[in-house]
Amino acid sequence: METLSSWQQSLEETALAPSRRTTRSYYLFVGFLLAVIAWAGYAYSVQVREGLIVTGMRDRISWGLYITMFVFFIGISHAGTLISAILRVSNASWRTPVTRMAEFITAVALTTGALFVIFDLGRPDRLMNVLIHGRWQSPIVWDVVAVSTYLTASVFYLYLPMVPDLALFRDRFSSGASKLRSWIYRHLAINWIGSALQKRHLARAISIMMILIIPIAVSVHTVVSWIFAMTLREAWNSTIFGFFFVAGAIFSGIATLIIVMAILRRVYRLEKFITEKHFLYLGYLMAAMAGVMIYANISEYVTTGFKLEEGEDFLFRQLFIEEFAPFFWFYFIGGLLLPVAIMLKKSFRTIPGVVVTAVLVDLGMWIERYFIVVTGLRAPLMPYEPASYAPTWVEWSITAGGFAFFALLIAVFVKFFPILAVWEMVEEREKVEAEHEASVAARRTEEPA
Amino acid sequence: MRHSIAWLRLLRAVTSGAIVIGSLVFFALPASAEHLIIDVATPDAAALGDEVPITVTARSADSNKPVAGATVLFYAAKSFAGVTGEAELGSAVTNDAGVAVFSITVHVAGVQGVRVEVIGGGETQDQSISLPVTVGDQLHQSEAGVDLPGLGAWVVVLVVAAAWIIFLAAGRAVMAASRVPAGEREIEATSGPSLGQMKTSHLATIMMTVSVLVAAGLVAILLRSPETHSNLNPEGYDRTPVAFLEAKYAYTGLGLSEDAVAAGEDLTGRDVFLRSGCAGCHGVNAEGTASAPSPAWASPGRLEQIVRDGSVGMPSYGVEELSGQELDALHVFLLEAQTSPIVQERFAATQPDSLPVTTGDEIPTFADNVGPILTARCAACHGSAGGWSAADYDSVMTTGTNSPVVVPGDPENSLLAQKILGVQTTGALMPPSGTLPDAEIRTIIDWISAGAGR
Repeated sequence: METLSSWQQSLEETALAPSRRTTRSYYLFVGFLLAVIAWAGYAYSVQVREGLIVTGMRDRISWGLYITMFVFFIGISHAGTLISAILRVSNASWRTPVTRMAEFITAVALTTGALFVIFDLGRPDRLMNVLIHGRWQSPIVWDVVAVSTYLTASVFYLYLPMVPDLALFRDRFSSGASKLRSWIYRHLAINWIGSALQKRHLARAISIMMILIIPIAVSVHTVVSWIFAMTLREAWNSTIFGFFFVAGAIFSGIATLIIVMAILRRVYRLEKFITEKHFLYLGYLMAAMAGVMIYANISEYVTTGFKLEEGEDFLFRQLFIEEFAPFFWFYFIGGLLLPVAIMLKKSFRTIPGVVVTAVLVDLGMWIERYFIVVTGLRAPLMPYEPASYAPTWVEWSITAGGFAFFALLIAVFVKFFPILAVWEMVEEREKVEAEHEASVAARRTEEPA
Repeated sequence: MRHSIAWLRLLRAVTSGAIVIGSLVFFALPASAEHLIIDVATPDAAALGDEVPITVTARSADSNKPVAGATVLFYAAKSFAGVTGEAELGSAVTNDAGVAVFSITVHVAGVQGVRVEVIGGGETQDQSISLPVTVGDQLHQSEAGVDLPGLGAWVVVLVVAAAWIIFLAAGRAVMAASRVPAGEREIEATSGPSLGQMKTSHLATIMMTVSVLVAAGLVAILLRSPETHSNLNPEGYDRTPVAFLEAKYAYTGLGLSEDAVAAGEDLTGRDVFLRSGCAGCHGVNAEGTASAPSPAWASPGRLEQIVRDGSVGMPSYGVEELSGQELDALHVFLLEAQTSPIVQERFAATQPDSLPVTTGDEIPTFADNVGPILTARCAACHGSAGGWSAADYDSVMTTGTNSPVVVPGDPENSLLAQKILGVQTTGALMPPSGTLPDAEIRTIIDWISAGAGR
């Protein structure tokens, strides 16, 4: 077995590697992302100049891709909360290599998601009215309060466990690094030297935040669901919407984490530290959440479908057999049933198997958000012809820009910050080895007897 | 308050209408004897939501026998979007006893005016009644919500504040970690730069300050929010009764500014235009919309005719609603509108770039050439509104007060050709916005010369 010190050294080198070397293909990738974002910026400038008429949204279907993206990104932001906070609270030892990425996805996805609310505004210059004239009776204001609280909490929660690793970076980059780099690490590492007292303070801060962030995260996605559920629409008249959205958020959050993890693992050679075990455990969690989602879907549609009140039949028809049927069945079969089936079959329980499942889940969940938004608005409230909605090039461009922005933030992050929680992994390893030694010693003492 | 004023006005209109009709009937009596006597009976009063039967009895004045089979029409005076008029409620036919019963469900409190018109025995009689409707059990009474004692904004404020206070607790721990006294520092734990050279990090302090500011902002929104919408608080309700379109003109379409209109003796044409609800279809600047053409080029005579008689989809306005003086003001406004940029722009935008004119070598047909030109140039006004219609071949050839306007093979005697050339014997040059392009005039005249075929 590799000694602890050499293992730690290789771990530190692996964590530092992305910040030390930058390949040409990295610059190409960032350049590509910037080009997509620039194009989205142009599309947005057209939208600001011409107004929302350049989108496919009209008076009746007034939400489309932007709100879909908003819900989707707020959803995947739950990756960090679940993986990191819940696993940390429950003290699951295998979590340490994946927490950092999960926490970072949270902060990045929230930033991206919040942007889409602004894209959806016809008059973004009036954004401040939410703050100036906001009413606490309005779900929009709950959303603003919840999302900004969550964003602060998740940035804080990303930062806290990173402090010791930032100190490591500060020390390793002390000479020969760019001024910006040393400035960042020096300030972010807040004089960390790893003393016992510092560790005690930091542990206190982390334990406060890891508990606090769970109810905040749950409240955020509940409030997002209430934006829908508290609007008078047949499709959204649901008491389980809060729960349904939170479950869906965690579900898609795990899937996104698996995808990001697989990419970074491949690009930065993290195979030694992120192993098949991590993918499988996350895969099991994802399959369990799929089970919850299947249950929630059936519960929702069976109760409303059994009564089939006036207006519901329209909704059911468009969802199950008409316009939106391909979307719905892709989501239900590909995004919910298949992940469970794949995890049940042993031969599929491999890294590629889990990653393919995660891609299916993310696709399915994106589509689910889309049809929740659009079918809900499409079902007429009065006996008129149902409206139709098709996103325009402006919406598609800004949507593409959103994904590019998400990827760009991750790409920039890995260049500046440790993608692995080095000190937590070391601590975990020390603990395991100590236990191992203790059991060996115990066996030795038992032997003579 | 507003309701009662509106109803008083309506009542006044209804009673004055009744007086006018009554006096007409009175003075008409000697000339032609009244053969039809009608009697309208309703309950003395009704409550909101009641179904009120209106019983109409028609009998012959000569024989005093019931008139069977007479059509009875029921109208209610309505006011909506600045337009007042009558809405037809329904109709009934008298039975052998000369009785027709029609039931209405009243949805509005106050004095309801209903006019009953009986058509039978070759004449028409009408009678107006007013029905006081009291507020009994309202059909829909909206509740402000269930008042749970002690539950209010403070719960939300407290929850949000609690989350942020806990942030601060975590923040304090971080600050403590960054300020571990030198004596406590285990120098051997790090190989980094010596601590003496390093400034104490202000980052934690800055982050804490930002957090406090954001938290204070969020809590302030929540705390302040009941005050930002004073309409939730009846005492604090002081929303201005006038909604403004642009800076100057009071929009009165929804009856929000009755006071402003009543007080305004010096109404400008634009005020008349807006107050009377013209803008709803003709555009705020009289530029025309998809539902109605621009009235900017209407001649004074034509304007008066259309305003007084109405048109398809357009209500008529009596002297009561729009005085002669106001009509003059309206015309001045429309004259000015002709040259306003927005009207010009809209006019240019609606003009087709190229119409299927002929070059003179081929014979124009209605289907390929003249029809599209007339549709584009004339049909906005000459549609189904009466008078000459440019809708299709048959109507072009046969309709109009001076019909036929097309004499096949004889453009000189065709009013259509005269009008577009400006050599007409009656009325004005058409279209009123100016002569058509030469190629279009030539196409139309060639078509008439060639026999005005389909």
